[in-house]
Amino acid sequence: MSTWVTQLRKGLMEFCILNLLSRGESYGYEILQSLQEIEELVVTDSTVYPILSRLRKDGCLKVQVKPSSSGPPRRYFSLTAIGQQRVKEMNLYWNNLQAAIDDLRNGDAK
Amino acid sequence: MNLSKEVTNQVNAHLDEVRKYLGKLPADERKEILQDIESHIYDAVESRGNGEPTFELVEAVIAEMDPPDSYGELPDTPKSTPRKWWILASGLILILLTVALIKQHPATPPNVIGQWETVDFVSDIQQFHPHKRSFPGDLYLKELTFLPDGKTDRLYWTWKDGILHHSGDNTDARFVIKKISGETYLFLEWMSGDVTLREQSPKYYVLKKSSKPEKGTL
Repeated sequence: MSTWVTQLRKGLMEFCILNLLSRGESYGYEILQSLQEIEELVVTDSTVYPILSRLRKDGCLKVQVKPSSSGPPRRYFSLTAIGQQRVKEMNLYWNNLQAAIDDLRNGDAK
Repeated sequence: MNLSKEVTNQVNAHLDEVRKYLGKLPADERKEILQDIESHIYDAVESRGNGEPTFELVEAVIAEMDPPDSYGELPDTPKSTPRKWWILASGLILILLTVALIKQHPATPPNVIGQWETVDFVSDIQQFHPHKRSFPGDLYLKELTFLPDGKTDRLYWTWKDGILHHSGDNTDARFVIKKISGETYLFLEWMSGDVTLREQSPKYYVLKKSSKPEKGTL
């Protein structure tokens, strides 16, 4: 059970980050705080920051550096056109998958 | 925000530790992750309010973050010829097998028997500094006595080789003894809920061999 949950969480992390950023730009700490509100995800810094970096490299996110009152400049992440397309496709896939699994669990599957 | 040199050094020390584990990533990704971690520390400090960041506050924020080794593998070894690579790979397999055997049958750490007093609580063993306490708050485990018959001064804890077994939680915590700056310290994995339920890496209680007379079983 625990391995299944761990794998599921890992897979969902990118999905959640992209969906969060589809609401607007945000910086690392703020993204982490928002995701930590989903208790079941068990989000920590070492899971989020490498994914943000990879998504930026994949062209899904762009970064804008802005000054911060707390210390070094903050890196604000936002979706690129590729990112917007990716999150759209992921949401569509998620909805279809969820519906199919609900059918399966309710015994309605063909 | 004005940052003291002490705080800046403290943050840089943590970033250096994380950097060691980002070796497999391309340089630009490494740099980005470190920038995000640095901003995270200052943002977390600011979110707690109360003016300028102090050494203790920054230490507390870092303690709540993932330990550096959560960030990935050890740095890449330098490029080498296929023959050298084969020798290195064979050596690595041998080391892994040895480590696996040691993990299965940990040897009894020398000089474990006796009373130990807690001196710190750290995210990982390398973080411990004998002259600079890392954990700012009050520590739950104050002391622990290892008795010769595999018992301890706590009814629920028994030990064998390098393992401390908790009969109530049914957990096995590893412990190791290290000599640092001429003193003997015992590092004990702390099997908190974050470890047993959330699958996070354990943190360590650091205990120092006590000079007080030993106690019996409670």
